[in-house]
Amino acid sequence: MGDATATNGGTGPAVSSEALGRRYGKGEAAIDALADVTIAFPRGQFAAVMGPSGSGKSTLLHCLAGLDRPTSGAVTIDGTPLAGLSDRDLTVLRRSSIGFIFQSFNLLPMISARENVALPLRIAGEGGVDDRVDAVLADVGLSDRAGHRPAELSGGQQQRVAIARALVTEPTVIFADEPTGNLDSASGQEILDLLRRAVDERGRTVVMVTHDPRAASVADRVVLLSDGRVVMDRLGMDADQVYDAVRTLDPA
Amino acid sequence: MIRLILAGLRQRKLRAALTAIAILLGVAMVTGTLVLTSQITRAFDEIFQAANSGVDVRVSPRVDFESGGLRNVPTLPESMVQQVQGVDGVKKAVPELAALGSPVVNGEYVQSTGAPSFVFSLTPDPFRATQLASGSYPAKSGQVAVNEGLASSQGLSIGSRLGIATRTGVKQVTLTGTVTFANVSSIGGTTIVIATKEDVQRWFGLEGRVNSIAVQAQPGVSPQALARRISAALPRGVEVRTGQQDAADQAKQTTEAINTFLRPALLAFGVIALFVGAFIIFNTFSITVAQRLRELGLLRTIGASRRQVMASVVGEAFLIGLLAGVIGLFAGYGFAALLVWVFDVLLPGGIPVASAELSVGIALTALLVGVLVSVIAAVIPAVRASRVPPVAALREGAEIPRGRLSRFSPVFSGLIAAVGIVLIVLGLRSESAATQRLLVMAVGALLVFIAMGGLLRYLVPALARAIGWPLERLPGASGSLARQNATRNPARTAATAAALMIGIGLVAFVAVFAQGLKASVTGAIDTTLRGDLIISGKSFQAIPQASVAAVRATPGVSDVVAVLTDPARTDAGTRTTVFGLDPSAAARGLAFEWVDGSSDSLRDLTPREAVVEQSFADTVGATVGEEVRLRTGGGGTGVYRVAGIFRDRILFEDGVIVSQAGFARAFSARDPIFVLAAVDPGQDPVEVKDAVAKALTPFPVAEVRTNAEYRDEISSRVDSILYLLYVLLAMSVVISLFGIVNTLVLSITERTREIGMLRAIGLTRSQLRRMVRYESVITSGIGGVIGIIIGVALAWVFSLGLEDEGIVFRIPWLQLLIFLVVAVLAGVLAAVLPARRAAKLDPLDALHYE
Repeated sequence: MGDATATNGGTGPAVSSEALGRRYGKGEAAIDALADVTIAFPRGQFAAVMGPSGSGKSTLLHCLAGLDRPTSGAVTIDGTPLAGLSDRDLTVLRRSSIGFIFQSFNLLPMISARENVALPLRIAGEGGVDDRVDAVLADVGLSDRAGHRPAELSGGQQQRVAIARALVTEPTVIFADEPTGNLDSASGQEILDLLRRAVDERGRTVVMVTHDPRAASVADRVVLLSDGRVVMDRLGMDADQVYDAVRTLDPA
Repeated sequence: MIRLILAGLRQRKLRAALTAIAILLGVAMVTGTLVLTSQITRAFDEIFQAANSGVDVRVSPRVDFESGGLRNVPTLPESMVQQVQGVDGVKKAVPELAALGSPVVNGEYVQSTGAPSFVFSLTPDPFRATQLASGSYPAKSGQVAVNEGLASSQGLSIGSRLGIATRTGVKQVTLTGTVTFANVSSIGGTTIVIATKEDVQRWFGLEGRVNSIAVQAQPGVSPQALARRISAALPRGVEVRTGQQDAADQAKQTTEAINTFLRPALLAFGVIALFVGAFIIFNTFSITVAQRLRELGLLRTIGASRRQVMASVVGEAFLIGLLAGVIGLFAGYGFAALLVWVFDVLLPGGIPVASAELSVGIALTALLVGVLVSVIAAVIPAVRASRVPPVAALREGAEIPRGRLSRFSPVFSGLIAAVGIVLIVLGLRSESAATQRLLVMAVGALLVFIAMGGLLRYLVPALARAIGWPLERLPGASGSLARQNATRNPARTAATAAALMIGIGLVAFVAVFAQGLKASVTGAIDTTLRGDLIISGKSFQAIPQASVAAVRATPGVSDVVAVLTDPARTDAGTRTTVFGLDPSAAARGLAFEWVDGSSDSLRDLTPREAVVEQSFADTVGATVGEEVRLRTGGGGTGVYRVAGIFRDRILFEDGVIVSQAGFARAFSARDPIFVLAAVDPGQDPVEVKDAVAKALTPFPVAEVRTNAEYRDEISSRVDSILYLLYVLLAMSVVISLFGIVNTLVLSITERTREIGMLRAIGLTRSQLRRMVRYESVITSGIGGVIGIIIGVALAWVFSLGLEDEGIVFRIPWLQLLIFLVVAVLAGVLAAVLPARRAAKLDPLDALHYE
């Protein structure tokens, strides 16, 4: 159904940052979680962001997604600069242009998988919900589990529901924060395949933070962060190359 | 362990505060009631002590039981004053007269809504209860002194002319002085007129009579000894007491009324508030125990015993209860001040109040009540906490194992409800004293509410769906999220709603009950009274006998029934009211349902006969042809042969009707309590009413109304009591609001991460606030709907039980609708703070929250 150019319009990068900085604390004790990060993710790219603990990869993800406000620099999503957007406008932008996938799935426990997937559409008050939800559930292979509550699903299935929820609004970019972190390797592989397909078949942009070199190797591009700076940014790496790159940064 | 509890409380300040407020208000109501009633009783003690300070001995007619206050006070012959003066040891004996009569200033009747309007005869020093403030005491006929408050509020000064409404018409008099009463600065709206003895006797038809005799002893003669001597010198049927004794007896009557009616009635509302608070404590502790599973599990893994875990929860409840007790004690003084204000608005100046005092008893009561309610409510959650397994510390999503008996809980609830209903029915059917029956029924109602609180959780999903239906139809997902949140933990929503259910339930109950009462009374007026006009006295006073002639003489009035009443008792002590009236006029003017006999039995009543109301006949087992013996308050006896038995459960309930001549054989009331008048056929009742009103100008205490106006008057009297009850019950509704706030705040804390996710995927702040608000409205709506249903059901059971008393069952639909709206608005209000807190959560922090 998707072809590679079916993005939400515009030809510039899906998301980009310009001299992005995020400082926590003040004075002597201040820590620069991000310093001068200028990066762009073109449409239809699967990027993995890696780095040791405290390298700033999660902060980068949050700033790019408009969840955290940078202390310096600028972020642009889908051609819209985030600086100066009100909370409401930012929320509406998240609603239309961004999808989220979390390490701990974050599904609502009291409603079914189908209702969880429908949630973003209902929040937006959009019509034609049922058809779109059915289609995306079929896409992640959960048509037969649609009526179940999260507690009745395996971890892998729950994360597939989360992916369906992220895909259903047809966002420009999907941010995934350690999406395989809580899963066994087989389930993790399924999730990575789904993300891969979202990029290849639907033209979504995926920015994934991960610890796992094998997960990163599925991506088109690997960005390595250390101490809040981009220390490596390469296309087409396999798992061993990623592993070596990470090891040089983090001897532990 | 104590340090742990304190640290926990510090960490959850808002919750601790909200929880404490839940009982604090109830404690405040209980303490406030105790403070206020002691203030009132002390004020009366002071007034009576001061007023009698100069009286060594007082001689008064014997009173076996209260016979309607000053409405018809028994009297003594004035000649007895000389007799007393002759007793050895008496320095001075003076006559005392007291009557009810309002001043008339510039043609306007000065009416106090609650306080009496006294006319006292002038007594010399040292007997005076009053002190001169300005001018002089009346020296001759046509002069009066009045209390200072009356003079200043009515703009009277020395030399002003004013009228006094008396038994023989409005008397024009001149003001010679102003007085203060018994050194008490405020006696509220009470008016006092002091006139010469002769004037008072003439005005009130008491020539040659006195109400009492005040005596001063010669130096060296003790009041006790003098009282004995005087008593020996006087005939039986006369009461001789020392001045102090008399003051104490007078104060005791008032104090008893306060201690047996006002205090328990107000305390009942405090208990209701505490009951609502207990629900909230229970719920709050249940939620926090569920949220602290890991922490409690950790305590177990590091070696705490089950008992220690339980003690930590109970200890927290103890501290919260103690806090609520301390603050509630002080808030109680505020509540007492509020009640004084409410009484002042309802009955301006009706109740004298002494300054508030801090007593050890009241302080201990406040602390004890706060701690007990809090600890008892926390017992079940504490037991549950003690069941947390150590493994809960390590595992996410661990659950408390359910108790062995928990699966029977719906059965238990059902049993409790059944016991409650049985108690209510028993109370209704019982023959014992009213207070006992009320207590039994109150406990029954309490059990019904507890049971309903337990059963409500099974109804929550369906009710939430029904109440949430319109909300889910609104655009955006807030409505359906709210409904799903409200149903994800039905027990929690149920307990929260149950607190509101109690308040709304009781409000609905009194509304329905009052509606039935109004319908019964107005219905009885319509069916029993054939006449068109009713003349009654203002402020529950009797109407001067002379006004009856004025009514009768008015053109257009065809028939007049004047009704005298006096209380009486049978030898066995059964209370009844004796009505004296003109039999033939009454047979035309009153339509009774006859059980035995007919209206002819009434028409042909001889002075030695009576017709009696069915419930009285049943109580004493009297049948037609038998005799009933009735004792009067003054110690007299009247014997009447029963000529007929009628049924009238509202106006003449439990009563005995005799002819005027028969009444005079034993009873002393001279002035009717009300007068019924029929209008000539073809005359406009309203025009005749105006003519009667004009004829009654000399008797401003009498008020004429058409039957319809009288009905409205009674309805509005019931309504004003109803509003007072609403105000007192509103307190429980307010408390339950805090319960909703508390539950929402706790739930939001619990769902922080979810809220972060929702915000991340596009829920705006206002959508989030709406989600919280809707959940609150669904909860309060459940409480409102179930409360109204229970209230109506209870009122129905009561009306069934009181069917014999003539109480009918009527549903005030509009009021019930208003209560539902109030419940929903309460939900909106309760959501303000929690919604703001939820909206303030940073989605990023919320996502990281563990």
